[in-house]
Order: sequence, then structure tokens, then C-alpha cells
Amino acid sequence: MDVLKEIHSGPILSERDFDLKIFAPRLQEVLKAHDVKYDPKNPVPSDDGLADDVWKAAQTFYCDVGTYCLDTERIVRFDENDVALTLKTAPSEFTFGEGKQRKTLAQRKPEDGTPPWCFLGAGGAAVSSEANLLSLVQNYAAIPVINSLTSPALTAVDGVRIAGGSPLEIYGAIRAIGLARQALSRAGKPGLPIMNCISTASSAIATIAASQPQFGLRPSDGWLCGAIAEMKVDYGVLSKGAYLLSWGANVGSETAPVLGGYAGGPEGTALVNTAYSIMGTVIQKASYQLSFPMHYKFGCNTDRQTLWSISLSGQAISRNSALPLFILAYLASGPMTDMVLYETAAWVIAAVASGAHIEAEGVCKATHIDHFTPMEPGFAAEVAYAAAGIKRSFANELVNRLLSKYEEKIKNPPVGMTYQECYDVRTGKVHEDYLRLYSRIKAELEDLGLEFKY
Amino acid sequence: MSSLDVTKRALAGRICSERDFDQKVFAPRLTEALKQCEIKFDPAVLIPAQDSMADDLFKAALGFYADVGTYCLDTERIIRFDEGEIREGLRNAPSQAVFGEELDAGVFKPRQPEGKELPWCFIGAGGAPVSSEEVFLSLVQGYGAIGLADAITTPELTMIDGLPIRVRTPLEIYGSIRNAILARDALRRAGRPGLPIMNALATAASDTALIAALHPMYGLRPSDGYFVATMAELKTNYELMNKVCVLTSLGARIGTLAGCVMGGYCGGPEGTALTVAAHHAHGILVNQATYHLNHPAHMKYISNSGPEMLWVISMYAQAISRNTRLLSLSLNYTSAGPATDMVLYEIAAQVITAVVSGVSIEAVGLARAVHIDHLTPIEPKFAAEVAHGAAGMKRTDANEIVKTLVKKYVDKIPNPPTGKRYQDCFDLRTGKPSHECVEIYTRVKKELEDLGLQFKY
Repeated sequence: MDVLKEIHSGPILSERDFDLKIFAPRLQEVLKAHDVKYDPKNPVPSDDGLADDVWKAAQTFYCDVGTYCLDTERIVRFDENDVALTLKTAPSEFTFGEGKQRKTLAQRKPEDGTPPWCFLGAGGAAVSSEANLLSLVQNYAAIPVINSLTSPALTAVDGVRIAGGSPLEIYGAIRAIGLARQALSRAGKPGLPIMNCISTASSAIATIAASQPQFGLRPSDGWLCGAIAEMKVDYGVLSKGAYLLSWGANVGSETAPVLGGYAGGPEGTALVNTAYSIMGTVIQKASYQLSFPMHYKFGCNTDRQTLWSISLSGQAISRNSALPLFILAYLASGPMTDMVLYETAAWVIAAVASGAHIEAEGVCKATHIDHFTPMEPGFAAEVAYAAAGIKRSFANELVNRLLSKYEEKIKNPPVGMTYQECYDVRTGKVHEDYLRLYSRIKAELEDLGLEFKY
Repeated sequence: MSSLDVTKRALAGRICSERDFDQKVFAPRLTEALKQCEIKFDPAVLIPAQDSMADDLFKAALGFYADVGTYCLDTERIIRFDEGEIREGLRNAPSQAVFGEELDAGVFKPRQPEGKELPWCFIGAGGAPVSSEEVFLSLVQGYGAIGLADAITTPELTMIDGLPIRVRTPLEIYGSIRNAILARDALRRAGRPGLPIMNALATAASDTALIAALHPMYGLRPSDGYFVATMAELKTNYELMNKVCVLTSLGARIGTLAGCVMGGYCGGPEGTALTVAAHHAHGILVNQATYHLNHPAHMKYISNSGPEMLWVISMYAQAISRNTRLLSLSLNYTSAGPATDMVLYEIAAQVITAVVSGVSIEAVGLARAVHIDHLTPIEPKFAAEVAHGAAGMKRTDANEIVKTLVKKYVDKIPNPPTGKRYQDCFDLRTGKPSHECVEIYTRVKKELEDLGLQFKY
């Protein structure tokens, strides 16, 4: 309610003026004042002082710039002391899931030996059929270390393509929730939390409608409320928050600064991503931050510059804030390619060594229907467990080696194969070729010095 | 016909601009349909007693709806049903429904013109706005204390924690949640925790706010009633269809709400009566309704207590109640406000007309339900008593009483007294009415008895 009061009384400004006269110039000033510089040789920096500087700069930046509300065309700003107090007093542990799958999520630190929370699945990518959704989710749930599910999105209901904002979106969202819960029960993990509620729902109304507990969601699941790039919200985001917080549901602040947009280069993107963590606590009252900075040109975040932004902001947030941070990656390439596993390894190592948890993952930029399988998140989980506790300098070395294997292909990546080409949808068995590829890349990583735990 | 099937038709039906639908489809077909049934408004007979006229109107309304359909504003397409589908929908529509819980549960049944069955008394605020939670609580507690209340229509909150509630903002969500919680609390205080709220939810205009407030934590139940409006005339949009989609998925009972405008595309009283009857077909098919709430309105006066509007109410009510088993209610909007003689005359005229014509009542939208706090529990209590008194009365007798009542206020409709606010009529702390209010109520009730209405209470 306090945020809403501010959103209806803050200073009025056009969106263009907010972007060009407030956000962009202030970002440049703060970056200059703190002398943050991108270092392409070190995609995983090891400088604690730099991470803490970025945190301080992000605090100053956020208090100066605030959050812009697109519907009221007003800025919400908070006093630096109030922000500091909110951050200090914010809860740091959150419980997700039910029964045997119930678990507490807490912040990690850089080089932390604690395994990251493995939030695994489709990253909200779209499937062509309900059969694929059921089979995929059942197989995601079978990944041994999975802590929560990121479910795919349906594209049709009873043969009719889902149109955003229409009642079909609501039907689709309700159907997707029912199917996901059914698949989790089939996998013997009925209590596993779904933490990307609700991938089939792009509008606030569809999210709120399908969140009625009668359709299967529980407060111990997690709902994503996305900020709008950069540092903006609208009534849709706020409405979701108002509804969810009123009944004690877990809200995830979903943030995706655009490298090459108003956030500028890697330095600005790192700073803005860090500022989003503050906004998540102050505005969205989030239980977790889900961050996926994106390269404006490649539509993925496994390139060198974006990995540096992810790593630096991850360290800044995890060293200075209590809010658990997830990194979600969007990969350039698709299933059953060498590249997809190299990309997965690179971003997971960078994220985990920098103090983040993982959401794995948006394969093939999550834009190709059915182009994802349980092999990629399964691989991400194995890498994540192996990367827990490694030094950032070693992580940097590994990521540099991996980048050299795929960096050149990002502009024109292989889209790979569909789920139904990689798996037998009926039995859930993976193709032998993919198993061989998986083992080969895992062996390559072992040769590079990564010690797999399983 | 499921709501998903209707959605598919909204996405695949014939494309048409809204203007063309109004002017090239709706209006000319209405004129043709009226020519065929040849019904005529007669100012000397506000409650016609000619069954064949009602039956003709019903047949014309069905044919008209089959020709015209419902227009979807978002897809700019027409959702059409053939006459067979409409008749099947009418056959399969609920012909009775249980609302409420435990001691306060009741069965809402259809009625007939001149039927002795007591009308379903859905009473309260008619969704009118209140200034504070204090007024809201006190009013709803007062409504709950009315013994004849079968269901409650709550007021609309206008403020939440000192902020004015704006539609389609998160404030509307907070306001709607508060509306649900306060209404349940007030009914519990009145000793009637199971009484159904059948206008869920007055504070929620948008789909998002209504659906957000449906979370069981806030107290609404499937045995309450949920409104889905129709846009004038015979139009819907995604927002309304979204409500239908969620409510049907939850197994909640939907009330379709239609406020046909006399003087708009409906034309005069004849066209308005026919359109209201046609809205019932729209209600069962597009809105998947269990009950049908109609509040035809005069374009200029907004209220529906004028002689033409009473004729409209009587005609559509007889057409529907004689030819279907639908659960139909008439909601009255008065011109005058609380603590005036006029408001009670208007209510008596409207309620007698509706009840003897075969439908139940929602009472009451006072002073057109636009003046904040201009509502009290006396008027809905009076309406329920009149409704029970009018059950079983002959249409010809009712016509005489109504004509006498109309003469008392018809000249004041263009410039009616807005009356007093709740806090000026009642003691907010004790919920007791002022001496003046009781005196007006007693006096007008006596006048009605003198006119021949036999009160049961």
C-alpha cells in the first residue's frame, strides 16, 4: 500500500524523459564516480572491492533514479536511509514446496561450498502439445537434485492457439498448472514447488486467475513478477504483487536489464542488475530475484560481456544483500549440440562461483517451440554441484576455456533438435546419441579440472 | 455450449465494426422483430394482463437474438447461435439454484405472473458507493438483519486506507478484497454468516479485481453469486469473458447483468422490452448464467420507475416467466433518495410490477446509486415487504395500484429529491433509524394498505 501511495503521488514525468534525462545520464555519472570498468579477460572477476563498489553505486543510483510507473507516469523514490533499513530488515530465508519436497532457500556467497538451489526445467519456453508438457515435466522432476520446477508454456488449448489477453490465455494457464502438478505427482514429487508461475500466463489477469488455489498452486510455489526494462513497473506487475502478497505467496522479482540498451555496456548492465535487487526488495517485496541480463543483439546471455555482468552483479548482490539471487540463462544454441552444453557449463560456473543459485534454462533462446529437453537442465545441475566451492579465479579460467569453444558461433548458433527428436515422448527415454554427447562433454570438463559430485 | 466454445466463436465469428453492428445489424433487426410481434406501449396499462402479448414478445426476442447474436468488442466479431442452440440453452439452464450456506441457505426458484410463490429477495445497496468502511459495515449488518433477506447486495467501497479506489489499478484489488472481508464480517455480526452475497463484487469492476478477490481466504464461496455484465446492447469483451472463464472453472454461480437503455439503440419501450428478453438468451449462452438481473434504464433519467420503464419491466418479466424456467430478477433504480416519500412510492411501484409479472427482485439502487452514502436498510426492507405483499396479486389489480403510485411521483422524476445520507438517517453506532425515517416508512406503508396491498408483515 505504501508503494501504491507513492506511485500515485510521485513526480510526474514522461517515459522518454525518465529514460533519457534521468536513467541514462545518472547511470553514466555513477559509473564514472565509482570507476567500474569491464575486463574482457576476466569474465568471472575476483575483486571483492569492485563487487562492493558496484553495490554502493547501485544503492546510490537506485535512490536517485527510483522506479518509474508506466500507468501513472510517476516516479517512486525512496530515501537512502529508508532503503538501507528495508534491506537490513528484509527476510533472508524463504520456504518453498510441500511435504518431502519442502526446503528453505537462503542467500549464497561467492565461492560458497553450499550447493546452489537447482530451479530446473524449461525456463518458460513453449511446447507444441500437452503430451510434451507432461513428459518434459515428469523428466525434469526425475533430475535427482532438482529443488523446484520451471515449467514450459502451452501454446494452444484444445487445438486453439492461445491469444494473449484473451480468455484462452486463462484457460491455457489453468490447464498448464493442472498438467504440471499431474506430471510432478507421476514423478513421485508432488510437493515440488513450481517457481516460474505462470509461464503460460503473460498477463496479470491470467496469472491471478490461474493462481486460485483450486487449480493447484500453493503459496509455497513462486510467482514471477517482472520489472520492465529499465527500472519500470506498470499496474499489471503491481496488481500481481498486490494479489500475491495479500495471501502470503512467494514473489520472485524477475529482472532482465538489456546490455546495449539504456543500461549501456557490461558495466552499466552489472550496476543496473544490482539495482534491480534493491528494487525487488523495496517495490516487489520479493522472496527471490530472478535475473537474466540479456545481450540486445544476440538474445542470449552466454556471451563474454553478459557473463561478466552476471558475475559481477551476482557478487555485488550476494556479498551485500540478503535476497537470494537466481541467474537464469538463455542459450544461443539448441538441444543435442556440443555448444549447448558448453554454454550451460560456462554460465552455471560463472553464476555459482559468484554466489547465485541457478534457474536452468532457456535453451535456444527459448524462442523455438519444443527445442529443449531435460538433458540440459540435468547437465546444469551436475555442473552447479561441481562448481560449488570453487575459487572465482578457477571459475574464470574454466569459463574462458569454454567461451573459446563457442564464442564465435553465438551470432549463428545451431538450433539443435526438438524434444520429440531427442526423446521417446511415451517412455521418456533419451536418444543414445545425446547420452554419448553428454558423457563426452562431461569428460572434457573433468579434464579441465571440474570435479563432478555425481 | 461451454464458455470455451463461446470463446472460439468470439475468435472465429463474422468480423464487423462496432458501429456496423449497432446500426446495420442490431437496430434494423430490432425494428423488423418489433413489426412482427406488434406489441405497443399503452400508458393506461403499465402492467398488461394479456398473456399472448408476452408470448409474442418472447418468440420475437428469440428470433431476434438468433439473427443478431452478441458482439465481441475485442475481436470485433459476432458470436452467433442458431435458434436450436438457443432453445437447447434455455432447456439446460438452471431452473433452480441453492445459494448460501447452512441456516441461511435458500433455494431460488422461478415464478409465474400472478404466482403466489414468494419472490427471491436479494436486497441491500444495489452496489451503490459508500464513503467509509464504517458505513459499509454498519449498512451490511443492517441488511443482514432484515428477516426477509434471501441474499445481500453489498455497497461499493470508494476508499482504501485513505486512497480513492481507481478502477484497473492495484488499489481496486485491495478494495475488492476488503469488500469481501468486510461483507462477511458484517453478516456474521448480524447473526447470518451463511447469507449469500449475490452481487460479488460491487467494488470490483475489472476482471482482475474480481478474480483476485475470489481467493477463498477472503470469504467468498461458490454458493455466493457473481455478476458478469453485458455491455449495451448485446455486447461483451475479453474482460467479461475472462470472468466467465474463471467463475465457471471454479464452479461459481454467475448472474448476468443487463442494463438496456431505453432511448438508445433499443428505441422506445417496445424495443427495450424485447432487448431485455433477448439478453436472457445471451446470459445463458455467453455468460453461462444461473440467474439474470435486469435493470433497464431510461436514457435521460437513468432510473427505471417512470411509466414506460415499468411497462418494460412488466413485459419482459411476463415474457420470460411464462416461457422459460429461468431465474430472473428485476433491479430497481429509483430517482429519489432516502428519507423521502417519493423513494418509497417508486420502490412500491417497481416491486409490485416485477413481482406480479413473474420475476424476483433485487432492491434497491437509491437515487440512481450515484450519490455516496445515499442508502439505508429501510428501503430494501420496505421493498421485501412489498414484494411479499404483492405475491399472488392479479395483474389488473396491481396495475391500478401502480398507476396511482406513479401519479404521486412522475412529475418529480426530472428533478428528484436526493434525500439524506445513511449517517443522517441512522445512528452508525447502534444501527437504529431516526424517528423521521420510521415515520415516513410507517405512513407510506399505511397508504399502500389503503390502496389494497396486503402486507404479510
